[in-house]
Amino acid sequence: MTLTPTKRALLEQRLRGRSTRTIPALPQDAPPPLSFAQERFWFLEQLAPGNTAAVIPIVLRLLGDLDADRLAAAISAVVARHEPLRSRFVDGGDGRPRLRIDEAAPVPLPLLPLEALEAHLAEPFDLAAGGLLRPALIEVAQDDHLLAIAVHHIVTDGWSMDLFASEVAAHYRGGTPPELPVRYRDYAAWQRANTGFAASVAFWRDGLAGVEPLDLPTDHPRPARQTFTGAEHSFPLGLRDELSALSRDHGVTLHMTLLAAFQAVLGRLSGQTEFAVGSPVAGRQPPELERLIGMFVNTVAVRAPLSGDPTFAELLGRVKEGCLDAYAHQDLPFEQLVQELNLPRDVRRSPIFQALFALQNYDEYDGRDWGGLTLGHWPAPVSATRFELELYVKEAPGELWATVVYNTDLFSHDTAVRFAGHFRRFLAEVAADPQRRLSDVDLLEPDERAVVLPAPEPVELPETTVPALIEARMAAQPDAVALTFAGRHMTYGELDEHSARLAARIPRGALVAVSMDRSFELVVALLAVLRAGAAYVPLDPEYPAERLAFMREDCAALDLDAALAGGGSPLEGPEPGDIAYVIYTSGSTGRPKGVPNTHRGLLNRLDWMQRRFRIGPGDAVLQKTPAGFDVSVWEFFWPLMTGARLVLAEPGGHRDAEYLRDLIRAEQVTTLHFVPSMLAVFLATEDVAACTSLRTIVCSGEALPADLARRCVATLPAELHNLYGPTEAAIDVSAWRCDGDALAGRARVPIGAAVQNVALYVLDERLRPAPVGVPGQLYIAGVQLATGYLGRPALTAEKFRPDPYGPPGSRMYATGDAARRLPDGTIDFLGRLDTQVKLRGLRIELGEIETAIRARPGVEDAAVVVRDERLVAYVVGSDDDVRPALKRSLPDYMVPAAFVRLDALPLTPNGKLDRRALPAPTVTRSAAVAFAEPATDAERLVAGIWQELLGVEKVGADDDFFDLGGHSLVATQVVARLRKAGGGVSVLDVFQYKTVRELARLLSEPDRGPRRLLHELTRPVPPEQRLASIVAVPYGGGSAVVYQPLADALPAGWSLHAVAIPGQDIGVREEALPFDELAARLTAEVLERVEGPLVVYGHCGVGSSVAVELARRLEAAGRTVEAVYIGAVFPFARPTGRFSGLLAKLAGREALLSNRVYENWLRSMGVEMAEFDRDEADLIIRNMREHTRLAEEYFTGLFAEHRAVLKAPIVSVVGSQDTQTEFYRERYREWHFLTGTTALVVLDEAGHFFLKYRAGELSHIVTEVHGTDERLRDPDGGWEVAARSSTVEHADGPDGPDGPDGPEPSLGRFMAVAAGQLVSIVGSALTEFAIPLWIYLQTGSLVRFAVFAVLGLVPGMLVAPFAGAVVDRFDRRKVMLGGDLAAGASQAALLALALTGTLRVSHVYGLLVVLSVALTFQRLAFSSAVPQLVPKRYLGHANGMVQLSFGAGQFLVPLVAAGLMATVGLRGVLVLDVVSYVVAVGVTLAVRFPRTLAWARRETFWQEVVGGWRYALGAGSLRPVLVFFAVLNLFMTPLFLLLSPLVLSFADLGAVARVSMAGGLGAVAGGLLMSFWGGPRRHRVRGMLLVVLGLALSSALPGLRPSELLVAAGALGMSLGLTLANGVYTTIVQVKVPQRFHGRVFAVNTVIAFSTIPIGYAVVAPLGSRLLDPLLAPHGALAGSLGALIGTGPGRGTALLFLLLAAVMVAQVLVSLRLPSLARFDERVPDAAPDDLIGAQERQRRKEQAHG
Amino acid sequence: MDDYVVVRNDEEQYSIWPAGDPLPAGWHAEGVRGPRQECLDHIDRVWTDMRPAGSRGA
Repeated sequence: MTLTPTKRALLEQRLRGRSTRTIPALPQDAPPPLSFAQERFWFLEQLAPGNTAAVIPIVLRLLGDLDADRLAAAISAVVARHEPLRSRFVDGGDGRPRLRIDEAAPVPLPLLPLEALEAHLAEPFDLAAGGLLRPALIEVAQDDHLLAIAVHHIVTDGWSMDLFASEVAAHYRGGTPPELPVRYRDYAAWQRANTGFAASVAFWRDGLAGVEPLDLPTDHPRPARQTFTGAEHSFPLGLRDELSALSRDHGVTLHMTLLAAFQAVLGRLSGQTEFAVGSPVAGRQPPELERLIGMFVNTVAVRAPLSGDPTFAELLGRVKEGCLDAYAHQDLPFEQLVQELNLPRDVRRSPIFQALFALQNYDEYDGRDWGGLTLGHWPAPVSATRFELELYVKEAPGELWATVVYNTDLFSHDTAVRFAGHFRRFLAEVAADPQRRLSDVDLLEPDERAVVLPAPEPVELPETTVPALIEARMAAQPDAVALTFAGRHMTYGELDEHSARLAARIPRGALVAVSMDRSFELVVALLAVLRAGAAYVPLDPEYPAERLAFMREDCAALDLDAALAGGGSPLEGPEPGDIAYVIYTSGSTGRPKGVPNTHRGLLNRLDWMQRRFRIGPGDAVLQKTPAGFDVSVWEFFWPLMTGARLVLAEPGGHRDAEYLRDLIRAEQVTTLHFVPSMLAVFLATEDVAACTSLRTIVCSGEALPADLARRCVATLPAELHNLYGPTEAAIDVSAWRCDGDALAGRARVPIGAAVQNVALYVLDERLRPAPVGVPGQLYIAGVQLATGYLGRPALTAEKFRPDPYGPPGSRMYATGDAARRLPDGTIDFLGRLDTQVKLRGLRIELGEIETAIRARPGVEDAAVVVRDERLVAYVVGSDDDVRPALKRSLPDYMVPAAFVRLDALPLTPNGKLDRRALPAPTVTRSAAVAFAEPATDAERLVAGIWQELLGVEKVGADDDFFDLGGHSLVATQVVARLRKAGGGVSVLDVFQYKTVRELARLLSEPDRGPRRLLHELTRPVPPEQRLASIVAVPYGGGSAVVYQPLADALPAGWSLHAVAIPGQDIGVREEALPFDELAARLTAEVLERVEGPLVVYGHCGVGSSVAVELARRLEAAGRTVEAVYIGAVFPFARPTGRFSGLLAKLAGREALLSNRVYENWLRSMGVEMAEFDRDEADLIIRNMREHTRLAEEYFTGLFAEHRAVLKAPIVSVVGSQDTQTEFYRERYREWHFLTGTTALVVLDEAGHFFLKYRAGELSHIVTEVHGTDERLRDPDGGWEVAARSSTVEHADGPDGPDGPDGPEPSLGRFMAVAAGQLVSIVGSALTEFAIPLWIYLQTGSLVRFAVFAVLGLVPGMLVAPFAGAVVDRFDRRKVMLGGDLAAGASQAALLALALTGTLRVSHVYGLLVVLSVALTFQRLAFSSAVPQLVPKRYLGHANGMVQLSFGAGQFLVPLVAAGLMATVGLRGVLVLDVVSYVVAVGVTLAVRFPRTLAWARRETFWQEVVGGWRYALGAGSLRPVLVFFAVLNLFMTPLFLLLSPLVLSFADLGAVARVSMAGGLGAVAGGLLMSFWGGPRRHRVRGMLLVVLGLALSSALPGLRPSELLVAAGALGMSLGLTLANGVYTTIVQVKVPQRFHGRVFAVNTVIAFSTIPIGYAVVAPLGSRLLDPLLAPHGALAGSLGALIGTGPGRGTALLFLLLAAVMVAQVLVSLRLPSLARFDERVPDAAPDDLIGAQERQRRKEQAHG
Repeated sequence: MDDYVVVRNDEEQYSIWPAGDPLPAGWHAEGVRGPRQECLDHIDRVWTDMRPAGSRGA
């Protein structure tokens, strides 16, 4: 045995007779330090407390008559001897551990049942608590015991436990072990003092350079952090003698032999040669340590010296050297080494090495005298592992036992068992012949061999060919549809005829080049070639000409035309061995290569497909793969062979997922193919789940990610199959069905098992089958093999190799793909072995691209890699024209997306390209477009802006904005940036001029002349194909691009010209044109540019007015307009009468409204305002308002003219949920003022802006409705013609008014009724206000005051839902009259009682209730009747007037009431009131109501409330805001009520009037402020909370002093705050709640008010005051303290209530500001989805329900 | 680099095989042995009709 230098040095030291003590004793009073290893264990424990990987389980089996007490005493004695076993490790408070050594004490030895063994050994330790050695005794039988010891590694190691056993045995038998020379603490201190590691550090740094982590093939995906759960597999290794001999012969230890074999097997399984394996060393060089128990063991990393495929004998030599070197430097603790090397930390793996090997040659069987007991064997259970794989070999007498401990998160038990087999077999083989090279050693056991070399599935193939089978089909079903393309069909009979005619002229055996886009002709041509017995060469017309020219020349194929010219020959058809097709594939040598495939192979492949998927005449198979890829081969011929229908996608259609979705649905496609990346795009497309016809989806072309497969299976009803196959075999050679269960827990979808008559092999470099799970190269053999590469003998010989496992003389194709065999025999695809890659399903030979780049003159070297799914080229040298040059010679998909210039390519030590050292590219644009450097200033400007906004690193002049990820939102930003830079383009321009170059050209044109108004959004339609044109005018604020969705949805033959109204298009600062000029210019443009039949569409106010005027002018110019469609609006006008006009203007407050109010409104209607910046939004809204005003003026003027002026019919298109077009069943007829014919189309569930989400349905409407008198309706129920009306014929609207019975609505009628109602309602309000005051003055009772206030309010609230239902059902006029009479009568009764002086408080109860209820009926009936009374075109204004009046009433009533009470008293008030009712009843009696539609609720109030709750609690997330208001109401409402009593406590009624007026002023000011302001733009809820804070602070003012001024100021502040808070809340609802739910949400608010106001009024106010008043009475409890501040006496308790409730509200606001649910509401709750999107989703849901 | 041999089967298809390894059944060494590229170059010269012998017909 060779001595290590250290040992030799030690030996020399001893021989020289110097001190034998290396380790000095630590002074007794010095604090004991931890050793390095202990420290590391402690830190590990802090990282993962309770980690059982550090718990060592020991089981000693003791046979014989055991004395448990004696055993316990023996254990205690040993623990007493060895300090580590009594140690604890506590946190020193500074994050570092401290060692505590406990006094010796008896160690408990519990007796446990056998079942508890495992749990006892696996239980973790608490290092701070101590007791780190935990023994237990288990009685298996009376004379058979297990001593089970769990001990933490921090206090022991393997050697120590051996010592432990022998010392326990010594004590047990009564012996005493010798005194210990040193203690562990001495060792730890010595180790820490000994810093002479520098040489060792240098050694290891050098020795471990370049070590890679061991990357074994795992069964499960590697967890994101290293885990420690383990299990073991033990097996007898045998071979003891053979291995001993082998070791002896080569001068190595058994340990080295086993380690070498372990490394060799790991190398084979991982394919690596640069990893290390850990190996423990005892760590007890100073001999005095040999008798100590403690943690001494160190682990050294032994590098696996496997490179160059040595023989095992050579390997042994290398391992010996490596081990001896390692031992010589073992003094450096492993934990120090990790720190010193400062390796990049990979938290998924242990550092430096991941596998461990130990030979355990200390043995519990040797030389132990247990005093009458004998030792048996009992394996210790393993549940943890510190490494991925640990191998322990134990030298038992006459036997070698091995245990594999493996991480169960990485490996399955089967894998561990297989590993054991490999290891044993490897040892057996090398023991027999150590001169064998490692790669020559066969690892496979016979049963595994059967798994990795399965025999092909034999299926007898008929002696026929695919074209022969298709001919049979064509003859059998001539009338069945064979092909469908763009809505046209070709039957089998026609296909037969066409293809036979062609085939007859094609020479047999010829190669025929076919270069056509997808079409009937293409299929006919391909089939004809096959039928003729010739072979086709598909040449994709999209390829660059250079490449196509190369292919033509390479294969020397005849062009189809040339072949046809060759004349005829009798049709013989092909033989099975003939070539069917030659498809070109990417080539590593820089040129593509043609691969001929035989008919036999093709037949086998299609026969397999038919057996597997079984399609027939009922099926439709989509053909979308370009003919140049072999997937197309089955797409073409399998359906034809089986009688199914072949559905051809349009050329280019295979890239358009939405097109595919529509095609699949339209043609009911059952079967189709996707490249996985396209499948992902497809699945992300809206509505794909509606492709319910799909039965089978076949994926191939690139690795199929498991989550994509899972998504596919979950989304679509079809089966998903993953296929694999290179062009060098007929299409596909393997398949795997993806079903949910099989996919579970997989990262990749396997490519499955071989198809019939095909064999797949996974072979290592020596062409031997790789073991299960081990990566190798995939080879293909069998009938589907291509014949080779056309005209490339060397390449063919290189890739098509003799098959050692197939029939004699057969070949196999080396795919160059890495794969591994799964335990079930299927195959897992791992990627490319060489530089060939697949990108988006296309196979690309990187070498081919590199060759092409290197061919450029200035280029010295080049490398191409795939990064982030893109090709990146690294170029050494200079050549600016690489990209254009590549574009000429390579197909687009092979032109790298990015070019990075380098001074030199980084290389690995072996001289290979170091791919990992290549820098990340700075480009992310698509590879599809060649990069052209922006050349002009304008191009650079545009490119720079795109680059920034789209997050693209580099933008080329020819890049398409939308290809780079642009969309309308970014388009507006582009426009804004360009404008800042001085360039004026519009969003529309960005849509129309899609590349940098085009857009820049636009910028560069100094004066583009007057901008055109019309923009054609459809692709130009040739005149002979044109059916009609639509001229579409956008809504106010809308750009012309809002019609893009409609344009896209229009059927063929229709064009759409959208109008860009100046000033409405983002990016172009244009003044709004005067209406007449706009109309004139537009008319001129239409006359000049739009020919043929013409339809005009206008949306909303602006759109409708311009559309109508355009139609009028066109007709005036002699042009026929087929129809005018008006979306989402009816004619609207402003009252023109002197008084009504003025009132309408006042009511409109138009001039006062801020743009923000409009913005909120637009947002609530689903217009995406967020995309505009502020200036932009203001500009747009300003112009929108101006245009809307002009539109109203226009219609107002038209109405004044009173004559039908259009020949064209007007068709109204409205959304059923649009509140702007209520009364549509009546209102559509208003268009009769312009035309004799009109119709109404209702879009179900649509809102106001349905242009985008309902474009498909709209396209049907605008192209179909005017062409017929029928009541068309969408088969899905999405829209219907609800009514038609003609002034000639009778209207046929089902719910329309029955002709002009009854009076016409008129403004006069409305104003008269309104005046009467308003006067009486104001009068009643006076009474309701005055009565409680009167009662308070009479009785001085706050309680009564409050009760009456409640009585005046609450009965009306309670009855409101019922009243609403009554109003909806009955004649409004009668309800109004009833209400008027009841209210008037109750007042009259009050008056009578008052006049006779008999009015008592008790009378008032009943009468006030009656009044409150009657008033509710009256008010609701009146509101509902307004639309009935007023011509509906004035409805907006009329409603404004009513609101204005109510608002004024609200402002005036308290003032007037208090004033009147002070002057004329209650009687006077009642007199006035009774008179007002006489007037109201008189007017209402006098006026007849028109029989037009009145306003009615869509849902009952309670339905609204329930729906609102559901919304607020569910998706709406409004809950926190609602709760806030509910709580606030409780505290706030009493204060409003108590203002008057508070004032009266120190002043008179006049003061009450003034204070009330201040409150009214506050409300008016709040309303005006909201108009100006429009509410906060961003943090709305926070803004609302701050407003409420102001309200709360104001609420404190009235309580401060008995001062009228203070109370008035408080009242003003409170009303102002409340109005503002309500206003802001309304904006919140507008922005966060889709428009159609607003009614519901506000209904919920009403209910909250319902429930809280009475409590506030009737409970909080009187109770609070009653409780507080005594406190502030002159001698009350608080009179001295608080009373000194706010005064004492009557009413001061009420004042205190103001202060208290104000404080509560302030607190509520402050708390709310801290609550994330409120404070972050605006960020947390997304803006409401566009109303029409909600509608479209609802439609979709219903459709699915109907179909499902 | 290890040597290869040029091999041929009964269909007169050519390929290469590691020199020294036993030839799979149905394949015959054609007599040329050398580095891989040399063998492939040889095949390029001699394999002029790449159709399988069985399907060359008349």
